[in-house]
Amino acid sequence: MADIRKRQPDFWLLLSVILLVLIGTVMVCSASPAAAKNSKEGNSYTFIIKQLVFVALGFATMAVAYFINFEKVIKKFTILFFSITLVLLGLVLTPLGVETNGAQRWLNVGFDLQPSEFFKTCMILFIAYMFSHPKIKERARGLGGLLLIIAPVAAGMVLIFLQPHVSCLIILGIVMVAMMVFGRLKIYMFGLLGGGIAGAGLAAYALVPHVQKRINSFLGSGNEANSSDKWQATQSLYAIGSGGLFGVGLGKSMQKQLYLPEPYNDFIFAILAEELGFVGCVVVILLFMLLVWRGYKTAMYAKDAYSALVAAGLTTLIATQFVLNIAVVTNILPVTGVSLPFFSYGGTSLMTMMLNAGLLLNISRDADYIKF
Amino acid sequence: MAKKSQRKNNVLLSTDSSENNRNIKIWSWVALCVCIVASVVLIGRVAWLQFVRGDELSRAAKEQQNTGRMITASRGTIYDSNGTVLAVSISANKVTASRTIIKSAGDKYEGGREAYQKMIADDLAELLDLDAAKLLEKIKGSGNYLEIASKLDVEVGKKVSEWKTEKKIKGIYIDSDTKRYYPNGSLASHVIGFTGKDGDGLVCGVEVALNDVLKGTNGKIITAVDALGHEVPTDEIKRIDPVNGYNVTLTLDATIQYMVEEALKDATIDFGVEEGCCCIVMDPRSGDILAMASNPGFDLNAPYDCPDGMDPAAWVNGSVESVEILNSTVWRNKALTDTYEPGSTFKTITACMALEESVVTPETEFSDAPVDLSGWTIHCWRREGHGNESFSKAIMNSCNPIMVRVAQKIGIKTFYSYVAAFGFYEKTGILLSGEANSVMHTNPTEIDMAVASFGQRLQITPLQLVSAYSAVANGGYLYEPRIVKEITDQNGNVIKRYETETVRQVISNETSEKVLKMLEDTVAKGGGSRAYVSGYRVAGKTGTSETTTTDQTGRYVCSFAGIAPADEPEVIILVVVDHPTIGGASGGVQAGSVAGKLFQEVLDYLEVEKRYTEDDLKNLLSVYDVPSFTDGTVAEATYTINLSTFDYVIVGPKTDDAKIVAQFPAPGVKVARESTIVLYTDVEANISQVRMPDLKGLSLENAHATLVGMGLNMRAFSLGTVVGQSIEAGTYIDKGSVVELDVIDEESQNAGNDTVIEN
Repeated sequence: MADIRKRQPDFWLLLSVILLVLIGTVMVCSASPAAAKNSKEGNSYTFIIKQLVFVALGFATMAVAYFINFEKVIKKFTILFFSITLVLLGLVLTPLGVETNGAQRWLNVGFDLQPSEFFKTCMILFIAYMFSHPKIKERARGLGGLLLIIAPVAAGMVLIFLQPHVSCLIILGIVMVAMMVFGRLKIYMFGLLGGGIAGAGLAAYALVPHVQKRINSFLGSGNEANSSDKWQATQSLYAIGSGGLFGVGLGKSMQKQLYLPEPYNDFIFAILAEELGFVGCVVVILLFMLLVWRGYKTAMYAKDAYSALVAAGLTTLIATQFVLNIAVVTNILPVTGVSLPFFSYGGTSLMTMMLNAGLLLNISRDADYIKF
Repeated sequence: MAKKSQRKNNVLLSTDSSENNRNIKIWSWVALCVCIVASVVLIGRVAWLQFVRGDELSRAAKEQQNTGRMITASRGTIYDSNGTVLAVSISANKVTASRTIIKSAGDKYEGGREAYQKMIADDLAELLDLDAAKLLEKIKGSGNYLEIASKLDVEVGKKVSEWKTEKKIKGIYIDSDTKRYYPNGSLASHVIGFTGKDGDGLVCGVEVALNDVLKGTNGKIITAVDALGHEVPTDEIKRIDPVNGYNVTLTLDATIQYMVEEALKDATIDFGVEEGCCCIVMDPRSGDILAMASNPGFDLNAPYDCPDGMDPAAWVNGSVESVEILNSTVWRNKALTDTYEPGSTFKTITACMALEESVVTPETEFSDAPVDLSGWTIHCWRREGHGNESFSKAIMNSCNPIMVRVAQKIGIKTFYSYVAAFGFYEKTGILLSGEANSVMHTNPTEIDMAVASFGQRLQITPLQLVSAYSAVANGGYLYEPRIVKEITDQNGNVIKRYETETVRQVISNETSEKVLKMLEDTVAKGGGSRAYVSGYRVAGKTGTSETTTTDQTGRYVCSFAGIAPADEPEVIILVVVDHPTIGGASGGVQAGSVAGKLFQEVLDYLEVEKRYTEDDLKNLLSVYDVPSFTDGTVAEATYTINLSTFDYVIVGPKTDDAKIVAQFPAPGVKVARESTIVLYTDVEANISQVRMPDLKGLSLENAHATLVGMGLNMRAFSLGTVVGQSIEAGTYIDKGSVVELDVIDEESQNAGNDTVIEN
């Protein structure tokens, strides 16, 4: 039996991830100093140094995820990983959690850890596991799915809702629904699921003032509009609009000079648009598309159902975050806290994204390479 | 083949797994397509923002990112026709603040933000003489940049700089600014005008009329700043240089202007003028305004200050009420914003049309009997009338009934067409703001014309009359009065030269000459004799009219419009005195004497050659007895002297009711005309002495002029060259002293050429 496995990572996948991380790191270096200097520490290089450490750690994580035995470690301990993240999410809400700007999203374990990021990956692994398990997959597709999949995932979501971290919930919701589709949930179950999500959305709008404000601010409904969100959206447009075809030049953004709040974070794409212009934007969007294309290809030709579902889920996660982030930055959608994968400053976010990339590469290594 | 079967094999291993694969494949394709669509939308959106809305967005971004510290353009200089500076921009400073930088610096200040703001407000308020509480409120206000004070003296700016360095203040900037300075204070205040806070001309004058030319374009230093207002080092700091304003040269002559203003000030005191007076000096050859003054005036460097006659304690500089008062009083240029009844000075216009239309000649005889016009009777000012007299005499004697008869001969239509041709229906178009138009009969009746023939029931501006007189003088050409000669740039290149604009020819050269002759007679022998200046041929006409537009009765406007020299006119002077209360109210006395004095000074200054007529010379020899003023009051004495050809100097208190205790020369002493009589109201007071000049070798005319100019008096018995003087040259003598001159006439001089004449 000839070996049809690639036995090596998908080149385009690897290339796109490396380029995105490199471009992202350069952008953080460019966008952060002015804001860092204005922060309490007053050191222009704070964010750059931290990010470089995270990038190094990120590559290490990616390598581990790539070389790890997918079958014997990842698949085997899926339930364990999922349970650990649930516990961590629970711990966030205890006094061990760190609160910033009215949201308790971090755990301090020497550094600030954001378990909700891990939960995204673990949820994908968990749902894939349930839909591919030979004994329970049939039950999971029907009413049994309520108990087997939806209830545990919903438990995590409730914990995240309590932080609160609504933008994370939106992403989780989208990825979860996609996973249900990939996992062939019964049609009638989608009805139930849709109703549940709609209900949760309305409840979020009604109960969380923060969500209300953001949506109102986007719709521009007068007094309730959150001026800081409006400001951020406007400043983002100024940055993009200033870019033109080739941009003002790397490092020359003016909007990062404290006009655009946290330019190294969720709005880093606006600074990219300003400094590198339309050309830079198209290159980055195309790199993301390359990644997404190779990601779904990996899913299509993965060696088994579990790998395929995980690959599809991870790709959907990356795609969702990149599309939502740029949609927010270009003011198509209201301001939400969605980070740009591989770009935005933040240790947990970058490391989980590179973990995801590592897992994708791992799956691509065992995929049917002829079809690739 | 082998590989393919392998795969098939694989698929066949489990139906469920193959179904799974198919499902994932299908949905992966779907998801990929969704992503592609989303990417296209995102790229489209970025393109839309960068290319369609790019200009708009980047402009808005630049607006917040760039701070333009303004560089004020230097306003152009205003010169008189000889290059004397009338208005100039000098360096000044302005103080601005960045609220955000003060806030952020305040947060690091030991006392906190509030204390920092208060410290800055208190210190600056003291340095700049501002209200500390109001300033603090401004500093705490919203927005970033705040202008605290502008147009500060450079010394004040320096003090603020020192304070800033000493206290290490952040967020306060001292920038350069310019400030308008008027070196001559109140000179030509109405013609020049002044500038407001923003540097633009306000209210009146050339500063308003030529604001666009003078102001230039402000420049900018554009620096990039972050959202907190700190400068961000960028490679492109743009500096847009200011374009300085153009310089303006006026036709005005500062020396003549000064003479005129002094004369008006003196007249105001001497005649107790209550409603102000004004004067225009024009060159009829070009329509150039050589001087234009309105009294009371104001200090251009402090235009908002309390004017004379107002209570300084109740005066608030710059308040709405105070500005209203200033607008209606000292800021008013009576020479062009006020209208008045010209009275008899308008008879000149009637004379012009009558002669031009050949309805009369100067010799045509008329009766001065009263004229009856539908219920109105028009008398001569002299109740008994002048009987039958020539038209020329009628002008000299200012007889109203004859003017009415002449106007009737001209006819309404023709009469008013000339009134229009002389420019009385329209503004003159002078390049100054605030020119008023006349109030003229629109549908004139016989009565209207009758009274208009001697200048009543019509309102014109002094400037309109001067323009018309200019046409009378220069052979009939009505010019647009010219106040601005040229506009030059900072390097002296001429940007625009204003040429004399001829509006139209109104009368012929011959008519002009005839009228000038009549007006010369009026000054030499008629009602205008106070304007007579020996050596110069002055033509002119007086005017007195009662102001009928107000409820006030007994308010007369006295005026004199003169042209000199009558044979080759170079100067027109119009003096209008509104409501004199001392010495009666007569155009001849009040306005005529001011004009006479001005003609003397102006023609001397312009170095117009003196040519004495035979009458002038004869007049030099006629001697007059000095009347007695002792024991009378100053008011009585000055009234009498004003009606004579004498002049006077008061030594001691000058109040109207002051008693004259002594006089010099004594009553009965025989002196020549234009002699100065010194009136003492205090015996103890000393008169200033003058040094006797050496007059030998001068003609009697020149010797007389020299002595009169020094306040000395002369007595001589023949015309010719001075060969001796009763007081030795170099002696110090009192003003008013009488000097007897020995003169030999030219013929005897020629005859006795070889005779050595000893002193």
